[in-house]
Amino acid sequence: MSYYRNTFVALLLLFVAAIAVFLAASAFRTKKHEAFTQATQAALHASNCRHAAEAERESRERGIQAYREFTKAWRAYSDVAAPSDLGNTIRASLTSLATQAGLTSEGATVAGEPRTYAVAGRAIKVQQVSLNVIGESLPAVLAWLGAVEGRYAYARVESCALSAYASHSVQLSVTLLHPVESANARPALAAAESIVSRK
Amino acid sequence: MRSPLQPLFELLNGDAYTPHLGDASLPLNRRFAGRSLVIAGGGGTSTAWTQRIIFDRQGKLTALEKRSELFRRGTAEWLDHLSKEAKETSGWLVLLVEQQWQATLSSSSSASLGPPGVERMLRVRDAVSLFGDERLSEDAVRVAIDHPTMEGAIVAGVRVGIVQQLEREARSQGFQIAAVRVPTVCLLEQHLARLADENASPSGALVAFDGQSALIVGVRDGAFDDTEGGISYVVNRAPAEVRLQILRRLQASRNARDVRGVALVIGENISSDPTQIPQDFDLQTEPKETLSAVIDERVRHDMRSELEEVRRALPTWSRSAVYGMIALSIACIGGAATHAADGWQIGERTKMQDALRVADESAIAIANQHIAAVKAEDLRAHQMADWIDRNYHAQALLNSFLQTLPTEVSVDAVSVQAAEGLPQAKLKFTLLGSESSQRQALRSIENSLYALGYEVGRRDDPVPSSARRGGVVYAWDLIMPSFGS
Repeated sequence: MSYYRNTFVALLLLFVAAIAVFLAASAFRTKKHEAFTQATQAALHASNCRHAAEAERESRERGIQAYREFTKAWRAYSDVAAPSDLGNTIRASLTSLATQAGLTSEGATVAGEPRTYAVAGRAIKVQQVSLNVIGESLPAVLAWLGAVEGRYAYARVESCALSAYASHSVQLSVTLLHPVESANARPALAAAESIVSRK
Repeated sequence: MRSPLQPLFELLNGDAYTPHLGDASLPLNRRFAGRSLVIAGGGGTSTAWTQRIIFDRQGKLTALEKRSELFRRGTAEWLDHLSKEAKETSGWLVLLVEQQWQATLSSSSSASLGPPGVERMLRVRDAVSLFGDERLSEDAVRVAIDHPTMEGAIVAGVRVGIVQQLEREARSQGFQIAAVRVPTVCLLEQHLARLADENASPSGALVAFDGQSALIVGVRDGAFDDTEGGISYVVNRAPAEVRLQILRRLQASRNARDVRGVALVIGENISSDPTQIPQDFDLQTEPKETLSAVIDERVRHDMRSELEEVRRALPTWSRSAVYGMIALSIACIGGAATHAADGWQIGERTKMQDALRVADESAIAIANQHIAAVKAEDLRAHQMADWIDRNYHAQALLNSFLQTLPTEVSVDAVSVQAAEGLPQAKLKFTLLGSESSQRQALRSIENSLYALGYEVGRRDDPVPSSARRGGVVYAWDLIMPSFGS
């Protein structure tokens, strides 16, 4: 028996090693299966979330179309590089309209920085432009005001003061507030438009 | 040199569960069960013969072929015969030393050296002081033949040079040596073992004769007779002289009135004249060709020059255990490989699921980003809606205000100041004229404002104008119409 002792020991070790390898492989498979189950559940959950998110996106996309058309319309008036450029553009436009109407303009001011304006509990940045126009004809002055309101349909006349100015002259002091596109909103809108365009 | 893997091969091919063919601790019939074996002997230094025997699987002798013709030892014919026998049989040979052996009596039993087996035989060889005397050569290969109830032993020996020469001759022709035995010693060992099995002790003289040499052992009072002449052997003489010597010894016994005994004879009778053999002698004769004493399983002595312990046959049950263990190991490894492959495939499928999840999460992130953008856009749009909803048409307001005034009243100044964040504005104007005309003007103004959708929320008390004599300053809070209303 001693002649085979080492061989028996080797066979026994092989047997034990084979059992150990089998158990390790079983544990390996069980672990992989558990990971697969978790991955499958996670993938299913992600798929459901994706469908829900895409459904919400499509729903919101459908609901925003009317507003988007409206937003594009007013952005055409304010789509400038900087708010100060918007103020200067409006001032130049007002002065030009006054000149075209035969009015004298003076005291044009543009606020250095857009101010925060509260509307219905929400803050909105506005650019303020002030201008005095003087004319001998009240209708001409009022027509100029109408032209200004027509050019900047979304501007708000914060104040206007009509008064007699010397003899037979009328002075109209106007302060306009024009909304400035939010700096935070612009990237979001751009991203939204890029996504929509990809679709 | 034996390969380290040899035991493993033997376990796998089944050899481990059968006796080793060279295991001297086992009888020949168990070692060579189901195999053929060649017995080689010789009548002297110059003659030799062989005989094939075959055992069945149960170890019974099934075939005993005819003994070959005598050869002259060392000739090419003899060597060719050996080579042919080696090729046509299992290649194992039992060498019989029919002459050139020696014998003596020992006062010690080999049982004191340990249990029967190879180790005891080796100890007998080494214990020269116990199992050797001047009648045995110092370099003789010795064996001790015992009886369990008797003290002492019969010691037989063959010079190692003779054994090695015979072995060398057989090995050179392809044989392996299964045993080296002396036939007359085989006769004695068989007889004593048979008596031991029957719980009997020998009595009287023991005479063993194989036709070539003889061994005569005296037994007196249940013990080997170690007095002078208690043991004698006749070898290396002509067969006729051997017989004569046996008869002389028997005659001497008759004279000493100790005439009882056993004559163990292989083949030829001791004498052609039966009267020369004492009547009280039990004559046990076996045919020369049977070799029953040589291959008897009770005969164990072995005079091989390089006797050594060899592996023992494993018990039968161990075969099932080993094969079962190997089969289980293979099954475990196969199962492990299957599980590992399965696990790997599951891992790949997990990667696919992870990839799907990552793709979905990426799509979710894009969708959420889109939703956030749409929300921001929606918020911005609502801001603008609220902004516009609270706007008013300044030109229409001023124009309506100025056109509705009666001619009796004039306006010195008019201003509108919108309130921040509210659909409300402060309307201030300075009227000039009589009190009644101003009241009429105020009604006209109010009507025109109503016509435009405005409502007057509050009227401050009129105050005299500080800028214009006779002028009255009015200040109203206007509630603006909603956009689109």
